[in-house]
Amino acid sequence: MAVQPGNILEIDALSVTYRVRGKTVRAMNAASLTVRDGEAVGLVGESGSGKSTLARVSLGLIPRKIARIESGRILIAGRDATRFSETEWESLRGDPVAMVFQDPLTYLNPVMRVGPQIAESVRRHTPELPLDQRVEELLELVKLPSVVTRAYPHELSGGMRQRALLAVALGCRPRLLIADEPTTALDVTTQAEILALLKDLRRRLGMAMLLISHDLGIVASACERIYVMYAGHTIEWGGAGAVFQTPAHPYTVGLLRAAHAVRNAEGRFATIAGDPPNLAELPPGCPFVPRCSHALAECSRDMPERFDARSGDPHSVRCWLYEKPGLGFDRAGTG
Amino acid sequence: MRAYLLARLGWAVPIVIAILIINFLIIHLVPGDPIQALVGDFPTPPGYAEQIRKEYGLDQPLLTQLWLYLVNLAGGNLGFSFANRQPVLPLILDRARFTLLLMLPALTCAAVLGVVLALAAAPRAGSLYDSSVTAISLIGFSVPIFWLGQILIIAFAIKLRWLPAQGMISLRETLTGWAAVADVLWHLVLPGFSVTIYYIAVVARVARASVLDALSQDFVLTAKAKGLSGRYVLWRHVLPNALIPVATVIGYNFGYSLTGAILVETVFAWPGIGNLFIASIGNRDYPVLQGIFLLTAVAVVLANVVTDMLYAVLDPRVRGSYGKNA
Ligand SMILES: Nc1ncnc2c1ncn2[C@@H]1O[C@H](COP(=O)(O)OP(=O)(O)O)[C@@H](O)[C@H]1O
Ligand SMILES: [Mg+2]
Repeated sequence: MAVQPGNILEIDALSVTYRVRGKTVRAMNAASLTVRDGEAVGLVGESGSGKSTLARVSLGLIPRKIARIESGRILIAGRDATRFSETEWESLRGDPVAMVFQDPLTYLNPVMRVGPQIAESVRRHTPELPLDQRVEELLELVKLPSVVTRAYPHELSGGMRQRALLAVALGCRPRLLIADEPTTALDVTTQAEILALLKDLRRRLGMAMLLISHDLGIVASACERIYVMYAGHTIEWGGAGAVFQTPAHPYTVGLLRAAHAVRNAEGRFATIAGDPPNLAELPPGCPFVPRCSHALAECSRDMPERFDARSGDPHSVRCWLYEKPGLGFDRAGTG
Repeated sequence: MRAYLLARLGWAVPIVIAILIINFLIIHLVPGDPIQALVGDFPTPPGYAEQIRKEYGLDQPLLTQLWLYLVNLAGGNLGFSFANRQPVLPLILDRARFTLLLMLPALTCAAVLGVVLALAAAPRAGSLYDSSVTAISLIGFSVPIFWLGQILIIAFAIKLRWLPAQGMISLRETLTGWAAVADVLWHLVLPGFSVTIYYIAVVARVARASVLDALSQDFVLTAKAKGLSGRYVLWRHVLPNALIPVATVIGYNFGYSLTGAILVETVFAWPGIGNLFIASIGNRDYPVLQGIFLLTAVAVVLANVVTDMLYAVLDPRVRGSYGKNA
């Protein structure tokens, strides 16, 4: 069947809460994100901003007992999957949407050889192909030697494990690959290798990718569009160059400045002043207000739908500073 | 793998030696003349005590005695039971067969059923079904086995008269061939059931916890993300990981199965080791008690070795830590 170009994943104003010891943790707050067929999209935000929640909820991987979808919709290849049952989700997992996770050791079954773990994807999604040959092909695709089929996960290096996990996902023939911090657990050299591999594979297989990272630089180098997430809100999105070169939201500006500062002044970590908000007690309005030096009166009242970030590209931001022409702060980084 | 097994077996050897030496020392720790520990309190023929004194070199230094004791053991000589009018080794081996006939099928059933119950319960943690499994295993675990046995006897043997209450064979008739086998199985039902219920509870408790733990592991998410069904993930990914801790419990209980049946054997007059043990205490038949102690200790050590091997089969990380070349 010919794949119609369109949105493979559409998260529409989705709110997700966890119940933790009687408290409601608002992990996603009317967050929106779209991935088109064949497109590479990045999702950045600090730890705890709700990136993994977004990734998992997009595959129905968070049990109802643990988390609740309060409002909003999840559309996969045009189908509304928001209220899907477990069996309905099973039909969407792997193909059209596959996923690789952060820690490649714990995400592989420790008592099963790598070959059979890849073979399961093949048998489930392409039973018509010769199994062993297809597994070999997948290993070749992720640049692993074929002896790896007989290895157990603990016998492989971190980089090899991440490649194996990638082979498991690619064995499903996904239209969209969600990669949740695929390089965070790896050393710098291996990070670069895996990232290069991801870029190369996406181009060769023509699949869409949602690359999640806390590092704006990584995402900007691999993706065409970027979303920035803060406290469960998608606060800024646009072309990778636009967001990376001319960040709009004061949070994104701070994030970039912190990243540069780490590179420049060795040893001293520059971070955004203040603490991430407590998701169990989110006040109304923009969650960044307590840490923002440009906050206006309306910021504590509610959050704007979106404004044009005026960087010359398609680029949106949810910040009252962009309501009127003439910016109230210097986005380049000194303000 | 081979290195791992050799290391495990290497551990078992000094332990068995220690057991033998302790068993030897017990003879000398019993108050009074050690000859009494070797002969027992039963009236013996005249001159027998003197013969034993010579056989074990009781007038010689302790090390010589240890040596003679080990030589006797190596020859399969664990002494003679006058209460039972036969040598100790064939006596306890004979009775051990009956205990194993009761315990091994019961433990095997319990291991399988306990794990299956846990597999069914854990994924629905908190549901009515899961709570009932937890409640039933708590009851099975805490109900005294002799009480359960007596209830079963009253219900099925005395009131309903469906099943025999005592012993292993029917005494009124002499059966041969398959009829004899069926007769033994018939007698096995009630004691076997009592034992099985208890061990199902023991296994299900541990298995439920370890299935729950395995279910929350990250690799389960990977398996689901491939589009595999929940049932497939449970059997193919969760179960093999959950079995690793369960193997310890099962291995431990197999190790103690020879003595684990003392209460049941007493209630149902099952002619196994437990029954012999109680009778020998009554008779102060020390050679038999020592023999049972030795056999049990060796069985526990063996069960540990087997459990360790099972670990290596279930968990490749255990094998790996002893060198990949093996
Ligand atoms: N299983 C869970 N139970 C309760 N709270 C959770 C769970 N998973 C995540 N959270 C909470 O949801 C918020 C977002 O987490 P997550 O989506 O993992 O963020 P990120 O991937 O950006 O670090 C955090 O505050 C985290 O503590
Ligand atoms: Mg995360």
